Amino acid sequence: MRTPLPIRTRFALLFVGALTAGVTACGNGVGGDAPESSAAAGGTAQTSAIPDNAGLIDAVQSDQSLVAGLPPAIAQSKTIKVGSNIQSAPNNFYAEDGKTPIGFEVDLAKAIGRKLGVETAYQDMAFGSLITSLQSGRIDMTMAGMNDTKERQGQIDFVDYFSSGITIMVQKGNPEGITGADSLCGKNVAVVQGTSHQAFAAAQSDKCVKDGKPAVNVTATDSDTQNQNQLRTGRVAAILNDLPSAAYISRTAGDGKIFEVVPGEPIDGGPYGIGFAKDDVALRDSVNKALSDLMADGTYLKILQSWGVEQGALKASAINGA
Amino acid sequence: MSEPLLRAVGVRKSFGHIEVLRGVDLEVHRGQVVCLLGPSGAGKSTFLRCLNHLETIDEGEVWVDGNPIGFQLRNGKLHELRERDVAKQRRDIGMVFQRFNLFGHRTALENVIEGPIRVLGTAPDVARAEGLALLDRVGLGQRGDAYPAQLSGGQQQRVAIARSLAMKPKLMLFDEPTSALDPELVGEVLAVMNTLAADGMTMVVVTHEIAFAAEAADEVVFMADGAIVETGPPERILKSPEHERTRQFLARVLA
Amino acid sequence: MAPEASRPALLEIVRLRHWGRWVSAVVILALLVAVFSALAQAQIDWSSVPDFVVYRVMLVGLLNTVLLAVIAQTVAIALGIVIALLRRSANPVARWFSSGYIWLFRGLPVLLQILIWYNLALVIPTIAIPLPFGGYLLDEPTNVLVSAFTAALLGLALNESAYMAEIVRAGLNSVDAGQTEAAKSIGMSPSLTLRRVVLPQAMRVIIPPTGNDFIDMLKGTSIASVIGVTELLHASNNISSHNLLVMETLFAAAIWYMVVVTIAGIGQHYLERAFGSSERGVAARAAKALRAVPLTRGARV
Repeated sequence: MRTPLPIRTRFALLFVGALTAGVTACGNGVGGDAPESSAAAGGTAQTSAIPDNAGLIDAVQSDQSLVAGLPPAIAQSKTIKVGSNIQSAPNNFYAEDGKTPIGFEVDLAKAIGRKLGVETAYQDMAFGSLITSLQSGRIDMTMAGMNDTKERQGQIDFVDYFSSGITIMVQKGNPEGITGADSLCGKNVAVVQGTSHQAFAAAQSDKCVKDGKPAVNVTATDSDTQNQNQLRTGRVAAILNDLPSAAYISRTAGDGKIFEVVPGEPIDGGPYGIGFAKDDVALRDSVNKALSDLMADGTYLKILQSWGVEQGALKASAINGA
Repeated sequence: MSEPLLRAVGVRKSFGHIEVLRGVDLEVHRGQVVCLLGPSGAGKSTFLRCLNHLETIDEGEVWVDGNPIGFQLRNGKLHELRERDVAKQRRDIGMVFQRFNLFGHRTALENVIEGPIRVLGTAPDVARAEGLALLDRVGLGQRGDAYPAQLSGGQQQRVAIARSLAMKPKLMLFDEPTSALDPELVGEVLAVMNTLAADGMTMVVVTHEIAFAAEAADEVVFMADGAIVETGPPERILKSPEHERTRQFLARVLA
Repeated sequence: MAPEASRPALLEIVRLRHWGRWVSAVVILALLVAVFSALAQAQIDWSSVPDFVVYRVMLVGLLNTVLLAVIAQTVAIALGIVIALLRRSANPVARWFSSGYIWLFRGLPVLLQILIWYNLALVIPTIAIPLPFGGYLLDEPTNVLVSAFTAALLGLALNESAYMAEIVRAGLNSVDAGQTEAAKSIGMSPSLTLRRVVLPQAMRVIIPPTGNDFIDMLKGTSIASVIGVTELLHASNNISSHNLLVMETLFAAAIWYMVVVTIAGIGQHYLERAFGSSERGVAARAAKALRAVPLTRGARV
């Protein structure tokens, strides 16, 4: 009686055979499609898009009258704790090293800090945690591309520093033919959790339904980068973004070949505000004055221009201007 | 006659509404071997476990060498002791269980020296030497490094006896020590118990092994339905019992 | 009569052919090949992944992930033992407290627990522990004492402690009552019995689910990214906030997760072996059979 090959050997042979087949398939796959994806190309494009404003910021001198107006805790520690969601370029994001915050808001905050004679110390957290952290005193101010709205004014005070509106970002070539807010009916749309875009998307969805059209299918995630990924893979047809982010990303991602901004007036335009706890009047007023001075001496505009977001520049700062 | 080493007076115990012990009295003198016989449910094991306070008694007293077990005599009253202090009293009373209850995660020798080292504070090398001597005495001097799982039932029970002996008790209680053993292993355990008895240990043994009672016991106590029916020397109880109940039991067991 | 010559020839045996096994093997392997080739052709720049694996911030993330998991699990085990013992206490208040503790910390979502600790200053602005003779042992603003890392640690540890309490309780219950009786009979106090006899044997039942929970914990630390702790997930988000390579950085983080989880699994294997050493051998099976002898607790005779 011939002894058959033991079970183990037979499975081993089959496995090796299948593996060889797989490896050959892989060989074809990887080499072929080396995506002219964001990595190499994106990297260089972005390094050129990141301005070095160190000189500009260092040139800002502190104003003694403003320093005197600081609340005692900050005057003593010489630091303002800034809370932000450091995941949205070009407002607040990380440098190549993954730990230094950069962005036009970071530069503005640093400049304001220089005016007040203090350092800025950043704390990264989810967007939805910012207001609570202000109230609990964990941070002294928030600067995170947060829209100054009447609802939010109920909880915190704002010093407006930038004007923005909601823009719609789609895949390059606009395959789904999105022309404006109304063409979002029945489509998948991604927004960042807790933002005014989320509220707008919900309102637009209601409008669609009232007009007899299908609702907008809204997905809310933690960060803008997740949304971009969903757009890239086609899971969503469009993402809602603030004007500066949309402009920056469509300019830089994949050397400008992946995304584009739907042209037209930014929707529901409104100011971004630096957030303060309701009882922190001294800090709020100091920052307001410092910002005003930076606008007057041209530093403010220069910073925005270096990042290409000057179309959002405000003529003057305002407290709770929304 | 000197004071008895063990004195149980009017021991009553109920589990819920079921009265398991209805007033049991027992006296055991130093060096005596007492066997408790009786049918299932008679309360023999429960009574034994009351002697070292593994079960609390509802009424009555248990005195070992002048100490009320589970209590402290103060100002003419018996004050209940906390577990920590009862544990101290138990050092003098060894117990051997039906299911051996050796510490499974320790070797035979480690089982034997655990008590002396951790409870009595004996120096480890002294405890080891004494432990090995004890294992020798029960015929397991070579198996000190074996785990209980590697020993036969009879061997485990002999280690259990050595473990109790290591505490140098005044009194040893045996709760059906051979009931869980294969018949061919019963003999080796009974042999050890016989040696112990011969060496003068005071023992109270609950057992079904009539032959052992006949041979080693100084006194046989027959219990049924939570009370002692009759007691006496083995020759009398086993050969010519006075009570019908005893006769019935023996007839069934010795048949 | 020669016995061998008269024996009839034995019949030929035809072995059962397990065709089903071959079919399923082929199907599974085909699926694997399909998955791998799909991944290879995906719009993912695999070549950049190894770079991200060794980014400085990724390594910082790795350190924080491991630190969070190890410290949280250790605290959880210690607390879990205490709560489990309270659960078995004769004191009804202790039992009520521990039941409530387990219900609360097992019930609330972990993220919520972390956020509560993170925002504790809303409820208690300053943590002050006064000394009896004046002055303070501790008087600091809550936000200073409770950093993001600490908040994450508290949330993870307390949540896990509720699960550990149940695991430890199951372990303690798994130890035969006879062990405690034997310990009592040689004069061991309750605490000595617990430490030397019950707990060590309970470990056999406690370790496998604990090891499982620890591996869950390693991955569960990623929730701390919400409050900005730079663990692996947050680190990869930081990197992709810059280069927009979300999947690539996540895969790099995934590699580290697989590494630590594998190491934890190996550690668990050795730990289980160490505590099970008394169970080895054929006699172990025999002893197990003996333990199955149906006897009531303290067989009432």
